[in-house]
Amino acid sequence: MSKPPARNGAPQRRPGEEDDICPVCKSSRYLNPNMRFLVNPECYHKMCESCVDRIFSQGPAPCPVAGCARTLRKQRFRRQTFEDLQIEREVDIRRRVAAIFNRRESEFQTLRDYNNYLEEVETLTFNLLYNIDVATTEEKLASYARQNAADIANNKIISAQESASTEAQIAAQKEQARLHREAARNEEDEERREKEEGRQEFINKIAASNEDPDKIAKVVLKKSTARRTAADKLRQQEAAKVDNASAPLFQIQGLKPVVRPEPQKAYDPFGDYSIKTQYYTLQTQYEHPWLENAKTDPKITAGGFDVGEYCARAMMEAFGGLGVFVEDEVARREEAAGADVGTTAAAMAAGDGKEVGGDVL
Amino acid sequence: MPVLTEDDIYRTSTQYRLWSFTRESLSSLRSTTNQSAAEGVRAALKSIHSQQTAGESEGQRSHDEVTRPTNYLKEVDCLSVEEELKLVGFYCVKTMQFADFCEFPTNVKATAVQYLKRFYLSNSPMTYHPKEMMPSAIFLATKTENHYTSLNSFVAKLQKITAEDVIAPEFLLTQGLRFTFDVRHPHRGLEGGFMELLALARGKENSVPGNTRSPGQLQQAMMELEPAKGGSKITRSAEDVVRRIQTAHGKAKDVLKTAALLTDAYFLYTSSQIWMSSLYLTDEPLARFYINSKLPSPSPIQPRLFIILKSCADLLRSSPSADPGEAEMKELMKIDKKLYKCRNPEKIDLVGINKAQKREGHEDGLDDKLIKKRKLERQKSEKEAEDIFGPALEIK
Repeated sequence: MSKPPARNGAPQRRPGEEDDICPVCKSSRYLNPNMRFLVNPECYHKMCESCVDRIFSQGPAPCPVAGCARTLRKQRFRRQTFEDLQIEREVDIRRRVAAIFNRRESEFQTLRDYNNYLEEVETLTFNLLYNIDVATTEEKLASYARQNAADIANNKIISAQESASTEAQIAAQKEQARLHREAARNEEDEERREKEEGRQEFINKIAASNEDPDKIAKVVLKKSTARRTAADKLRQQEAAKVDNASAPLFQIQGLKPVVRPEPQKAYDPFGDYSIKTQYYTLQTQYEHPWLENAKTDPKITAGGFDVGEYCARAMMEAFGGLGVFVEDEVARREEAAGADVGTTAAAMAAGDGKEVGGDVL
Repeated sequence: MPVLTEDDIYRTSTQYRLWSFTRESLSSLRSTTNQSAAEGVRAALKSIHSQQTAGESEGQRSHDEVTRPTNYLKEVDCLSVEEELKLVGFYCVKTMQFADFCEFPTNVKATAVQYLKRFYLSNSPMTYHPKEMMPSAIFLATKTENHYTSLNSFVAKLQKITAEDVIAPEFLLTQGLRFTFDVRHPHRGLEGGFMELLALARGKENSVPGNTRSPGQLQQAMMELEPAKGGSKITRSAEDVVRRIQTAHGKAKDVLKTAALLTDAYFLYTSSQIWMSSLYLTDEPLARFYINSKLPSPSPIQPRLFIILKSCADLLRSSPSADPGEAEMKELMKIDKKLYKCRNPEKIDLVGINKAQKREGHEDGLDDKLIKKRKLERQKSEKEAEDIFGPALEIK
């Protein structure tokens, strides 16, 4: 047998490709220098590229490694990133869990709550890693993902925004739109199929019996609606059951209540102030010898002169300050401001400060 | 949600905040102004005198100087507060006449007069002569009242006054006005009241918040009003009432155009109180009825308001005439002559002062050396700015 090439002289290979013999077909690198090894994240058994081609080209097949027998697909075979396959698997699992449990620290009321959450997530991850209670753990994971789908998507978007550029965002949106479209198309197909089935049934019935076709049509129609409502109901029930059943499966303590930002109020140029007149009620029309002309003369109205505006202003000026007693209020104001401030202020304003009492006055 | 009434809105105006006074504070402000101006005049005359005596020691004593008594300075006869007031009042009348001559609208005229009155609260005629301030005040009023008049066409109407003379005191004036140009006049308010009175007389719905009487009742009550003093007839029909309102309106308008401007009413009362008291002055029963309909009897401010209106009406009645008689003119001439002797010599040449305050003021006001130095500095800094490596670093 040929000696394996010395480590130092060997070209740098990717991790996991230092082996020279494929564990499945036992072909050696000596015969095929371009041999590449692939793994499937289903069971992480390593095999060479030609084995994958040979075994899985015809569709899913059981893993050829003795005692594994998991069904693998060719599509999911990939080159490994880490030399140690345990690590490869751990990283995969962690990535999957992190995609679901993607709460952020800012969502928690206290740091302690956040840490508790992290610990629980870590427990789940650990269970998955070391195959402890895998079924229950998976169930927890799935139920959590179902219940918090909106939050998860939201956080995903936020982190995407943080990391990726706007282009990436647009791509994500497009992807989402495509998914939406696909879902809609599926639904449509489903409906069409159902309709077709109904029709087929109708024809069959007519062919089989001598009853009035209208009656049969009614029955079939009723049946199909009944089926549809039953299907809807079933779906709802299932959803409710899932949520009810899985409610205690995984709960997070200390989440901040989600505060939806209030919709912005309409802009108020007067800053929430309103005017309530106490001495008069503004009428829509006033009589004034001056204004008769202004109401109709195009020379005046064309410029935008509004008689109503004039009236409103005149009324405001007629009563603005009627109840303001300058004698009292100003005296009070001056007292409050301290004696003589008013006059000093006037003097200050009149002169340019330093010359007060000098030649300015 | 904060609610504002008409009164609150008036309280936000500069007229209320800066230019409303009690009688005491108004008179104390005027006397303070008068005193400090008199001191200023004395100080200025003294410094001039000391300069001249310094010149005299070189033997250039003129005949005029010899005849003056040595304690001349202490006895400079300054204007009293009353004399100042009279003089300013006279120039207010002049302002009105000039505005009429130029065919400026009432609001320009009224604003110009108020500008003069406000300016002379904190400045004395001894410092700045009203004759010099007057054209500037009118010109400023045309601008603030949105009645555009070009400076050239304005000056063309004046005799012996150049554009410089109009412009020079303008900044001074705006300073004296504390940069508040808004004057709340009672004229438009009177029109508002007139419109509402007409509607009342015709029995239209014009209710006040809180009024209980129907329009018909109000109309009837109006017809039953006793006639005004000074011979208006007893009113029997709605048309009579309308005629009565029109007469009162015309008279009140005249009062607002003259008496209200020439007195201190703008300082002491609000604009709506002024027009109301002009109505009170011309047709007391009508004004009383109107206020009663606005403020039904158990009102906290109604009795107080009547006192205010009465005192304001008295003030308006006591206003100086808009057309001074011969005796008055003689007295004014005397005051003016007195003023000639006690004017502040440093402030006579307003045009010169204005120029000196501006940049490049190389008139007599500034030292030639200083100007030259500044010019050199400016040139140097410009040159340095153009230098490709910037100005030289300063070593500290």
